[in-house]
Amino acid sequence: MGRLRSLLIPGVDKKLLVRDAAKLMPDLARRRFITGGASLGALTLLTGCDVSDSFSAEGMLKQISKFNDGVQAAIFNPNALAPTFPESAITKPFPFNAYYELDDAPDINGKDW
Amino acid sequence: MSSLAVSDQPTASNSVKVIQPAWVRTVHWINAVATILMIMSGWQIYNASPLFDFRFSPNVTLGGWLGGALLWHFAAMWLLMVNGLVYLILGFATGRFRKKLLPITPAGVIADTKAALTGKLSHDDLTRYNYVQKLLYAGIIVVGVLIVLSGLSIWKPVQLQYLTALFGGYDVARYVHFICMAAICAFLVVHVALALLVPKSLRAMIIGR
Repeated sequence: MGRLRSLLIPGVDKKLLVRDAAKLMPDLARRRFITGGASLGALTLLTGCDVSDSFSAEGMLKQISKFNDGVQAAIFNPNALAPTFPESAITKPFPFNAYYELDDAPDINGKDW
Repeated sequence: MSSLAVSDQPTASNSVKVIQPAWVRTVHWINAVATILMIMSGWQIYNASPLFDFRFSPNVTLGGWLGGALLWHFAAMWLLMVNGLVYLILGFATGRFRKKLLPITPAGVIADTKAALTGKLSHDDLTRYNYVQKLLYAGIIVVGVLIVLSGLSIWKPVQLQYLTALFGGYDVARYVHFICMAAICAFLVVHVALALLVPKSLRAMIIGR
Protein backbone atom coordinates (compact mmCIF):
# COMPACT_ATOMS: atom_id res chain seq x y z
CA MET A 1 0.00 0.00 0.00
CA GLY A 2 2.91 2.28 0.75
CA ARG A 3 4.28 1.62 -2.72
CA LEU A 4 1.03 2.74 -4.33
CA ARG A 5 0.97 5.88 -2.24
CA SER A 6 4.52 6.69 -3.35
CA LEU A 7 3.28 6.72 -6.95
CA LEU A 8 1.01 9.69 -6.16
CA ILE A 9 2.63 12.96 -7.14
CA PRO A 10 1.40 15.92 -5.06
CA GLY A 11 -0.26 18.58 -7.14
CA VAL A 12 -0.77 16.36 -10.19
CA ASP A 13 -4.26 15.23 -11.14
CA LYS A 14 -3.92 11.45 -11.35
CA LYS A 15 -6.72 11.08 -13.93
CA LEU A 16 -5.02 13.47 -16.33
CA LEU A 17 -1.70 11.76 -15.64
CA VAL A 18 -3.18 8.41 -16.63
CA ARG A 19 -4.58 9.91 -19.85
CA ASP A 20 -1.18 11.37 -20.66
CA ALA A 21 0.48 8.03 -20.04
CA ALA A 22 -2.10 6.25 -22.21
CA LYS A 23 -1.28 8.61 -25.08
CA LEU A 24 2.35 7.54 -24.91
CA MET A 25 1.52 3.86 -25.15
CA PRO A 26 2.84 2.06 -28.24
CA ASP A 27 0.59 1.40 -31.18
CA LEU A 28 -1.41 -1.68 -30.24
CA ALA A 29 -1.89 -2.46 -33.93
CA ARG A 30 1.63 -3.86 -34.00
CA ARG A 31 0.88 -6.37 -31.25
CA ARG A 32 -2.37 -7.36 -32.90
CA PHE A 33 -0.49 -7.83 -36.17
CA ILE A 34 2.07 -10.11 -34.61
CA THR A 35 -0.52 -12.25 -32.85
CA GLY A 36 -2.63 -12.29 -36.00
CA GLY A 37 0.38 -13.23 -38.07
CA ALA A 38 1.17 -16.09 -35.76
CA SER A 39 -2.29 -17.58 -36.16
CA LEU A 40 -2.10 -17.04 -39.91
CA GLY A 41 1.13 -19.02 -39.90
CA ALA A 42 -0.66 -21.78 -38.00
CA LEU A 43 -3.17 -21.96 -40.86
CA THR A 44 -0.39 -23.10 -43.18
CA LEU A 45 -0.22 -26.27 -41.12
CA LEU A 46 -3.53 -27.08 -42.78
CA THR A 47 -1.62 -27.72 -45.99
CA GLY A 48 -0.79 -31.06 -44.49
CA CYS A 49 -4.47 -31.96 -44.63
CA ASP A 50 -5.95 -33.95 -47.48
CA VAL A 51 -8.02 -31.70 -49.71
CA SER A 52 -8.88 -34.28 -52.35
CA ASP A 53 -12.60 -33.71 -52.02
CA SER A 54 -12.58 -29.96 -52.36
CA PHE A 55 -11.14 -27.54 -54.90
CA SER A 56 -9.73 -29.27 -57.98
CA ALA A 57 -7.28 -27.38 -60.12
CA GLU A 58 -7.87 -29.60 -63.15
CA GLY A 59 -11.30 -28.23 -63.97
CA MET A 60 -10.10 -24.66 -63.76
CA LEU A 61 -7.01 -25.41 -65.86
CA LYS A 62 -9.21 -27.03 -68.51
CA GLN A 63 -11.44 -23.96 -68.67
CA ILE A 64 -8.51 -21.60 -69.07
CA SER A 65 -7.00 -23.89 -71.70
CA LYS A 66 -10.22 -23.62 -73.71
CA PHE A 67 -10.04 -19.85 -73.35
CA ASN A 68 -6.45 -19.97 -74.61
CA ASP A 69 -7.62 -21.92 -77.66
CA GLY A 70 -9.91 -19.03 -78.44
CA VAL A 71 -7.11 -16.51 -77.97
CA GLN A 72 -4.79 -18.47 -80.21
CA ALA A 73 -7.48 -18.71 -82.87
CA ALA A 74 -7.94 -14.96 -82.65
CA ILE A 75 -4.26 -14.17 -83.13
CA PHE A 76 -3.83 -16.79 -85.85
CA ASN A 77 -3.09 -15.23 -89.19
CA PRO A 78 -2.93 -17.91 -91.92
CA ASN A 79 -0.84 -15.58 -94.07
CA ALA A 80 1.92 -15.34 -91.48
CA LEU A 81 4.38 -17.93 -92.69
CA ALA A 82 7.13 -19.42 -90.57
CA PRO A 83 10.42 -17.61 -91.17
CA THR A 84 12.99 -19.49 -93.28
CA PHE A 85 16.70 -19.58 -92.55
CA PRO A 86 19.84 -20.24 -94.65
CA GLU A 87 21.41 -23.72 -94.47
CA SER A 88 24.42 -22.13 -92.76
CA ALA A 89 22.22 -21.35 -89.76
CA ILE A 90 21.68 -25.04 -88.93
CA THR A 91 22.95 -25.84 -85.45
CA LYS A 92 25.75 -28.39 -85.46
CA PRO A 93 25.56 -30.92 -83.88
CA PHE A 94 21.86 -30.87 -84.69
CA PRO A 95 19.55 -31.11 -81.63
CA PHE A 96 17.20 -33.78 -82.96
CA ASN A 97 13.79 -33.66 -81.33
CA ALA A 98 13.56 -36.31 -78.56
CA TYR A 99 17.05 -37.69 -79.29
CA TYR A 100 19.00 -35.88 -76.60
CA GLU A 101 22.16 -37.81 -77.29
CA LEU A 102 23.42 -37.29 -80.83
CA ASP A 103 24.44 -40.98 -81.02
CA ASP A 104 20.83 -42.07 -80.42
CA ALA A 105 19.66 -40.45 -83.66
CA PRO A 106 19.21 -42.97 -86.50
CA ASP A 107 21.31 -42.71 -89.67
CA ILE A 108 19.01 -42.04 -92.60
CA ASN A 109 19.65 -41.25 -96.24
CA GLY A 110 17.19 -38.41 -96.82
CA LYS A 111 16.78 -39.19 -100.56
CA ASP A 112 15.82 -42.85 -100.09
CA TRP A 113 13.90 -42.68 -96.84
CA MET B 1 -14.43 17.72 -17.14
CA SER B 2 -15.34 17.55 -20.82
CA SER B 3 -14.22 21.10 -21.30
CA LEU B 4 -10.61 20.12 -20.76
CA ALA B 5 -8.10 21.21 -23.38
CA VAL B 6 -6.69 17.70 -23.70
CA SER B 7 -7.21 15.00 -26.26
CA ASP B 8 -6.98 11.26 -25.91
CA GLN B 9 -5.37 10.78 -29.31
CA PRO B 10 -1.99 9.02 -29.20
CA THR B 11 0.86 11.50 -29.41
CA ALA B 12 3.37 9.23 -31.16
CA SER B 13 1.05 8.42 -34.07
CA ASN B 14 3.21 6.45 -36.43
CA SER B 15 0.06 4.77 -37.70
CA VAL B 16 -1.38 7.75 -39.56
CA LYS B 17 0.99 7.87 -42.54
CA VAL B 18 0.13 5.31 -45.21
CA ILE B 19 3.30 3.60 -46.39
CA GLN B 20 1.86 1.28 -49.02
CA PRO B 21 -1.52 2.11 -50.57
CA ALA B 22 -4.12 -0.63 -50.90
CA TRP B 23 -3.74 -1.02 -54.65
CA VAL B 24 0.02 -1.56 -54.31
CA ARG B 25 -0.47 -4.21 -51.67
CA THR B 26 -3.13 -6.03 -53.67
CA VAL B 27 -1.08 -6.01 -56.87
CA HIS B 28 2.03 -7.06 -54.95
CA TRP B 29 0.58 -10.21 -53.42
CA ILE B 30 -1.27 -11.29 -56.57
CA ASN B 31 2.05 -10.90 -58.37
CA ALA B 32 3.79 -13.01 -55.72
CA VAL B 33 1.34 -15.89 -56.24
CA ALA B 34 1.47 -15.60 -60.04
CA THR B 35 5.29 -15.46 -60.06
CA ILE B 36 5.65 -18.59 -57.94
CA LEU B 37 3.21 -20.49 -60.18
CA MET B 38 5.05 -19.31 -63.29
CA ILE B 39 8.49 -20.22 -61.95
CA MET B 40 7.52 -23.68 -60.71
CA SER B 41 5.62 -24.62 -63.88
CA GLY B 42 8.36 -23.01 -65.96
CA TRP B 43 10.93 -25.26 -64.34
CA GLN B 44 8.82 -28.30 -65.27
CA ILE B 45 8.71 -27.09 -68.88
CA TYR B 46 12.48 -26.54 -68.83
CA ASN B 47 12.96 -30.11 -67.63
CA ALA B 48 11.37 -31.41 -70.82
CA SER B 49 14.09 -29.79 -72.90
CA PRO B 50 16.91 -28.53 -70.71
CA LEU B 51 19.13 -25.67 -71.85
CA PHE B 52 21.93 -26.65 -69.51
CA ASP B 53 23.36 -29.79 -68.02
CA PHE B 54 20.85 -30.07 -65.18
CA ARG B 55 17.15 -30.57 -64.37
CA PHE B 56 15.04 -29.14 -61.57
CA SER B 57 13.97 -31.53 -58.83
CA PRO B 58 10.30 -32.62 -59.08
CA ASN B 59 9.91 -31.38 -55.50
CA VAL B 60 10.06 -27.80 -56.74
CA THR B 61 8.21 -28.10 -60.04
CA LEU B 62 4.51 -27.77 -60.80
CA GLY B 63 2.49 -29.77 -63.31
CA GLY B 64 4.05 -33.21 -63.12
CA TRP B 65 4.97 -33.37 -66.79
CA LEU B 66 5.33 -31.08 -69.83
CA GLY B 67 1.61 -31.12 -70.63
CA GLY B 68 0.50 -30.38 -67.08
CA ALA B 69 3.16 -27.72 -66.69
CA LEU B 70 2.04 -25.94 -69.86
CA LEU B 71 -1.54 -25.88 -68.58
CA TRP B 72 -0.38 -24.20 -65.37
CA HIS B 73 2.05 -21.89 -67.14
CA PHE B 74 -0.49 -20.65 -69.71
CA ALA B 75 -3.11 -20.20 -66.99
CA ALA B 76 -0.99 -18.32 -64.48
CA MET B 77 0.39 -16.13 -67.27
CA TRP B 78 -2.97 -14.34 -67.47
CA LEU B 79 -2.82 -13.56 -63.77
CA LEU B 80 0.73 -12.31 -64.16
CA MET B 81 0.10 -10.24 -67.28
CA VAL B 82 -3.21 -8.62 -66.30
CA ASN B 83 -2.02 -7.88 -62.78
CA GLY B 84 1.33 -6.64 -64.12
CA LEU B 85 -0.40 -4.40 -66.62
CA VAL B 86 -2.58 -2.92 -63.86
CA TYR B 87 0.57 -2.27 -61.82
CA LEU B 88 2.37 -0.59 -64.73
CA ILE B 89 -0.58 1.59 -65.70
CA LEU B 90 -1.33 2.69 -62.15
CA GLY B 91 2.35 3.12 -61.36
CA PHE B 92 2.75 5.60 -64.18
CA ALA B 93 -0.67 7.22 -63.86
CA THR B 94 -0.39 7.92 -60.13
CA GLY B 95 3.19 9.10 -60.49
CA ARG B 96 4.31 6.43 -58.06
CA PHE B 97 7.19 5.23 -60.28
CA ARG B 98 8.51 8.75 -60.72
CA LYS B 99 8.17 9.56 -57.02
CA LYS B 100 9.52 6.32 -55.56
CA LEU B 101 12.04 5.06 -58.10
CA LEU B 102 13.74 8.25 -59.29
CA PRO B 103 16.43 9.44 -59.14
CA ILE B 104 18.96 6.60 -59.24
CA THR B 105 22.57 7.71 -59.18
CA PRO B 106 25.65 5.43 -59.30
CA ALA B 107 27.16 7.29 -56.33
CA GLY B 108 23.98 6.77 -54.36
CA VAL B 109 23.86 3.05 -55.15
CA ILE B 110 27.49 2.56 -54.13
CA ALA B 111 27.05 4.52 -50.91
CA ASP B 112 23.86 2.72 -49.90
CA THR B 113 25.31 -0.70 -50.79
CA LYS B 114 28.29 0.00 -48.53
CA ALA B 115 25.95 1.14 -45.79
CA ALA B 116 23.78 -1.93 -46.20
CA LEU B 117 26.72 -4.33 -46.03
CA THR B 118 28.05 -2.65 -42.89
CA GLY B 119 24.64 -2.65 -41.24
CA LYS B 120 24.34 1.14 -41.30
CA LEU B 121 21.49 1.54 -43.81
CA SER B 122 18.58 3.26 -42.08
CA HIS B 123 15.01 2.05 -42.51
CA ASP B 124 13.38 4.73 -40.41
CA ASP B 125 11.23 6.17 -43.18
CA LEU B 126 9.68 3.33 -45.15
CA THR B 127 7.94 5.77 -47.47
CA ARG B 128 11.27 6.54 -49.10
CA TYR B 129 13.30 3.88 -50.89
CA ASN B 130 17.10 3.90 -50.67
CA TYR B 131 19.20 3.78 -53.84
CA VAL B 132 19.66 0.00 -53.76
CA GLN B 133 15.91 -0.47 -53.45
CA LYS B 134 15.22 1.97 -56.27
CA LEU B 135 17.73 0.22 -58.54
CA LEU B 136 16.42 -3.27 -57.78
CA TYR B 137 12.74 -2.37 -57.98
CA ALA B 138 13.17 -0.47 -61.26
CA GLY B 139 15.37 -3.30 -62.55
CA ILE B 140 12.92 -6.05 -61.68
CA ILE B 141 10.14 -4.19 -63.52
CA VAL B 142 12.32 -4.20 -66.65
CA VAL B 143 13.15 -7.88 -66.15
CA GLY B 144 9.45 -8.61 -65.69
CA VAL B 145 8.58 -6.96 -68.99
CA LEU B 146 11.43 -8.81 -70.73
CA ILE B 147 10.42 -12.19 -69.37
CA VAL B 148 6.83 -11.73 -70.54
CA LEU B 149 7.91 -10.56 -74.00
CA SER B 150 10.45 -13.36 -74.41
CA GLY B 151 7.83 -15.82 -73.18
CA LEU B 152 5.33 -14.60 -75.77
CA SER B 153 8.01 -14.84 -78.45
CA ILE B 154 8.63 -18.52 -77.71
CA TRP B 155 4.94 -19.25 -77.32
CA LYS B 156 4.10 -17.85 -80.76
CA PRO B 157 7.34 -17.78 -82.77
CA VAL B 158 5.44 -17.72 -86.08
CA GLN B 159 2.59 -15.32 -85.33
CA LEU B 160 4.87 -13.06 -83.31
CA GLN B 161 7.97 -13.74 -85.43
CA TYR B 162 9.08 -10.09 -85.39
CA LEU B 163 9.13 -10.12 -81.60
CA THR B 164 11.01 -13.43 -81.68
CA ALA B 165 13.46 -11.93 -84.16
CA LEU B 166 14.03 -8.98 -81.79
CA PHE B 167 15.32 -11.45 -79.23
CA GLY B 168 17.66 -13.03 -81.76
CA GLY B 169 15.48 -15.94 -82.81
CA TYR B 170 13.68 -18.75 -81.00
CA ASP B 171 16.77 -20.41 -79.53
CA VAL B 172 18.19 -17.22 -78.09
CA ALA B 173 14.76 -16.14 -76.82
CA ARG B 174 14.65 -19.33 -74.74
CA TYR B 175 17.94 -18.36 -73.09
CA VAL B 176 16.71 -14.80 -72.50
CA HIS B 177 13.58 -16.23 -70.86
CA PHE B 178 15.70 -18.48 -68.63
CA ILE B 179 18.17 -15.73 -67.67
CA CYS B 180 15.29 -13.41 -66.74
CA MET B 181 13.87 -16.18 -64.54
CA ALA B 182 17.25 -16.58 -62.85
CA ALA B 183 17.38 -12.83 -62.24
CA ILE B 184 13.90 -12.91 -60.72
CA CYS B 185 14.89 -15.81 -58.46
CA ALA B 186 18.00 -13.94 -57.33
CA PHE B 187 15.88 -10.87 -56.65
CA LEU B 188 13.41 -13.01 -54.68
CA VAL B 189 16.14 -14.34 -52.40
CA VAL B 190 17.35 -10.83 -51.56
CA HIS B 191 13.82 -9.40 -51.39
CA VAL B 192 12.41 -12.05 -49.02
CA ALA B 193 15.54 -12.05 -46.86
CA LEU B 194 15.36 -8.29 -46.41
CA ALA B 195 11.63 -8.28 -45.77
CA LEU B 196 12.28 -10.70 -42.92
CA LEU B 197 15.27 -8.68 -41.67
CA VAL B 198 13.12 -5.53 -41.57
CA PRO B 199 9.74 -6.93 -40.48
CA LYS B 200 8.04 -3.54 -40.37
CA SER B 201 8.41 -3.41 -44.16
CA LEU B 202 6.54 -6.71 -44.41
CA ARG B 203 3.89 -5.33 -42.09
CA ALA B 204 3.62 -2.24 -44.24
CA MET B 205 3.04 -4.38 -47.32
CA ILE B 206 0.23 -6.27 -45.55
CA ILE B 207 -1.67 -3.59 -43.63
CA GLY B 208 -0.19 -0.54 -45.28
CA ARG B 209 1.46 1.13 -42.32
